Amino acid sequence: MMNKQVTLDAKNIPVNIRLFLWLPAFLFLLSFFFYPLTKIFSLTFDFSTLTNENNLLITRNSLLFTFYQATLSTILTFILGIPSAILFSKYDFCGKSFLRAITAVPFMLPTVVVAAAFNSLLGSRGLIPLLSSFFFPQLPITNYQFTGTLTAILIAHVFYNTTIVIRIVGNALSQLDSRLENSARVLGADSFSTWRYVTFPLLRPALLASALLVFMFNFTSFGVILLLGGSNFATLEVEIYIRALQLPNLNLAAMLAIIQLFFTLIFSILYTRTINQVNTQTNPQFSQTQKPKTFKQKIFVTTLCFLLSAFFILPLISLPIRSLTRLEADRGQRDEIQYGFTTDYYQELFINRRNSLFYVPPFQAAINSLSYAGMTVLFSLALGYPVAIALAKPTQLDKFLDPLLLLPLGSSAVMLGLGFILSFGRLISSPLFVPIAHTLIALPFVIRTLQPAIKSIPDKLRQAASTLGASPFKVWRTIDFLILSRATLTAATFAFTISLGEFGATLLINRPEYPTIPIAIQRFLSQPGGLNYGQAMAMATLLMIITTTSILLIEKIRLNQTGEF
Amino acid sequence: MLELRHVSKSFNQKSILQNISFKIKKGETICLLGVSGSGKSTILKMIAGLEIPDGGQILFNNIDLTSTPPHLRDFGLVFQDFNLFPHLNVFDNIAFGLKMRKINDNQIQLRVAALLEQVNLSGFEKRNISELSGGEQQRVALARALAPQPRLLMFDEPLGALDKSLKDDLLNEIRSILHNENIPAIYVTHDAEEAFAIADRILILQDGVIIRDDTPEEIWKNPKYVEVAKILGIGNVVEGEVIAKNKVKTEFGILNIDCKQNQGEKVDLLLTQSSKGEVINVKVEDIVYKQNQFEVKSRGGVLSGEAVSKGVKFLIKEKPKIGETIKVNVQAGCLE
Repeated sequence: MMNKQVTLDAKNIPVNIRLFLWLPAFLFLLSFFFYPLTKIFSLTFDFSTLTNENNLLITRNSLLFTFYQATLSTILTFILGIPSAILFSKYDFCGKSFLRAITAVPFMLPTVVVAAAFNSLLGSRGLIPLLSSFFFPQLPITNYQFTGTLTAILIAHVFYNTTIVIRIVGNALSQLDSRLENSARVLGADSFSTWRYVTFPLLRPALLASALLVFMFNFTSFGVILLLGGSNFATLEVEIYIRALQLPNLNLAAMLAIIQLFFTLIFSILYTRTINQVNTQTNPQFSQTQKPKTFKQKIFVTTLCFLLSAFFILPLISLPIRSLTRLEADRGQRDEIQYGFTTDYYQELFINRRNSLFYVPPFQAAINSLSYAGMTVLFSLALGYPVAIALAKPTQLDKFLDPLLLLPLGSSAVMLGLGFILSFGRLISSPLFVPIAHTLIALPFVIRTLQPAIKSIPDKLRQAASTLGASPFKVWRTIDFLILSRATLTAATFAFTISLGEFGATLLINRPEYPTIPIAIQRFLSQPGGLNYGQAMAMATLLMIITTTSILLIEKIRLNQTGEF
Repeated sequence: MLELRHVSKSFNQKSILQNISFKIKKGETICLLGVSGSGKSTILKMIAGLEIPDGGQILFNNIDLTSTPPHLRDFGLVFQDFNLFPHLNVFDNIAFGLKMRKINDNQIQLRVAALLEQVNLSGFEKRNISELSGGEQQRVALARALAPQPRLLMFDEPLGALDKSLKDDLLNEIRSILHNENIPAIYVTHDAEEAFAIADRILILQDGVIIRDDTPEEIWKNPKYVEVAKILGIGNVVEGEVIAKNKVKTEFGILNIDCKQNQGEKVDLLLTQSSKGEVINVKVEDIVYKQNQFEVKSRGGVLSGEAVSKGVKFLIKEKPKIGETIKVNVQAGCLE
């Protein structure tokens, strides 16, 4: 078991071996992130790009709209998030942990699933409009529109990000020592002054940090905007996509990508600063929750619980329901429509309706997705393991190299895709590039999962086991292997889930004949007819089930081990 | 000034306080003494208006405070964990109550400076709370409570988080400040030593009921109840049995003492070491050196077969040997 000593005793790894551990990941980043990045930069700093008036106008408009929608989304998220944070941090009620878990689900769902879910509920083919026109045909709902409106974008953003406010502000609230408020009251502060001079200043870092994070996510949102809003709502991200593929102007796309990167960097720096203050200013000993007592409190808790359940559960259940019900004619259908339960949409997934090169049977998309995801798992584990070993007992060198790995996360998926297009040109038709892009995104998660597990393998435990008479192999099998296999499974599931749901980068670089599940959903949604819509719903349902299962699996493994998350 | 009339409180159907009644006169310091969980802090919270009594009345200068919210009661409260505002510096913490009362800035400056001097922290205005030691934090908390010149000061285990020597210093400071300011005060603690050091009157709280309300001297002289003697940690409580009028049998022999209990009944006795009184024989079990004397832990030497007490402690001038039986003078008193 000599190799155990070499690979896992991270404490005593000499510098040259450390460098060797970093080498694969570093080369990978160099070729697939930094090289594309230089390409983007070199295109941007072309004098004609920077001075072209049309370019500047587009840039200005998309930047303004990006800020506008992100601000609106953030405000709306806070309007729902703050009362919810109070609800979860101050009150005890039946079903609390379930409701809390439900609010966290959207955050981990792929954008296509969320977009499809809202479409299935509120879209013009969705449950609510179709059912209401079915049961109340006299209702004048002409001109009903949900997809293609700013409202749809905003609602989906609130759906995604409310959990951030609940987590950050809720934690700060529950750690706020209520005796400080009592002190203020006794010293002569009325309830408003107590809030103004004590509670609010103490919560300010948490409010600011969550606002920054929510704003950043809204700022870089792509899938939701493209799928629910459409390309009329050109944020920076959408505009990069349009200029990269639809109305090619790669110089402009590159310039937009740099602007986007600049703002994300600023937000990340600000966020990191404020979130650090959140931890130091509160007292973790005091969390006091109580059952709602007064009439006002009961009304507050009941109303908000009802609202949250409706908002978070309805879209997620309407998606599978809509995928199993026929509420309108399929495209070109002449005979009588069989309303009600149907499995047609799922059966259709296996049939290639148009035998053209670009229309493979939809089920093929699932096979593509699964094989891309499999490759992503292999790549990210192969690159991530050595780095995680080096980072388990980090030296100055490791601490310096570490943040580099996070950079691909800070730049948007669309930007990664654009970089690939610019750097690899025709080569990009190789199906390998999709899992490579996915690996860039998954790698930080994989390393963050493996590193604490490797670090947690206690030397003392191993020594204790061997003094108790265990052979080196037995020691390895009972201690290291157990811990590592769990962490590896978690990391693999992370990589798998990320790859399966990835939309932005894939949309830019995938080959039309190798669609993934999210791409297929997007194609179905953009085509007319009830059958296409139904298939989009069916695929989105499948993706939702796979993703949720993965999340549950990760959570379950996480609960069983004490890692640093 | 302050008066509580038949105040009661329960949480989740569990009674915490029953029928609490007492008065505090101007300039008087009373101490609520009791083990943790006896409901002491809840009394303070109700007086401050942070908790609402289930029954009874709280009055100040004969005015019922029930409908007065905490910020208008004009009482000061010092907590065990200081509860200083972590986002404000020393000056702003002390000035908080003054600012809430819309006092002008010049006066605030003067008042804060004077208070800092009073608590020996001159020049600490700009310090952050996190830079202060525990003792300094408690001084700031004291100054913060004193700043608005409250009508009543309350202390909730104010020295509980501090170490012994700091405790003694601060206790003296609090006492002198209370005397100078002539503010009525309620001091809550579980530490009998603190209670005796600071209180004009001690109220002993047991399971939500006041079982004793008297001056420290009286309570010391005659604790009256086993619980009181135990809380105070005075003397030794031993069990005995009344065998005849004026005769109680104990593990230390038969003592001449008149108890209310009838013949044949069990009785708790308080044995206090004294120059006068009866002589008993005790068997030395352990010796600890204490301030020029030897604290001897012992059990009854005579009727050792019936020894039921956890042992008694006496102070002896000359070091005895372990196992030796020595004679000690004690005064015995009956407890209820």
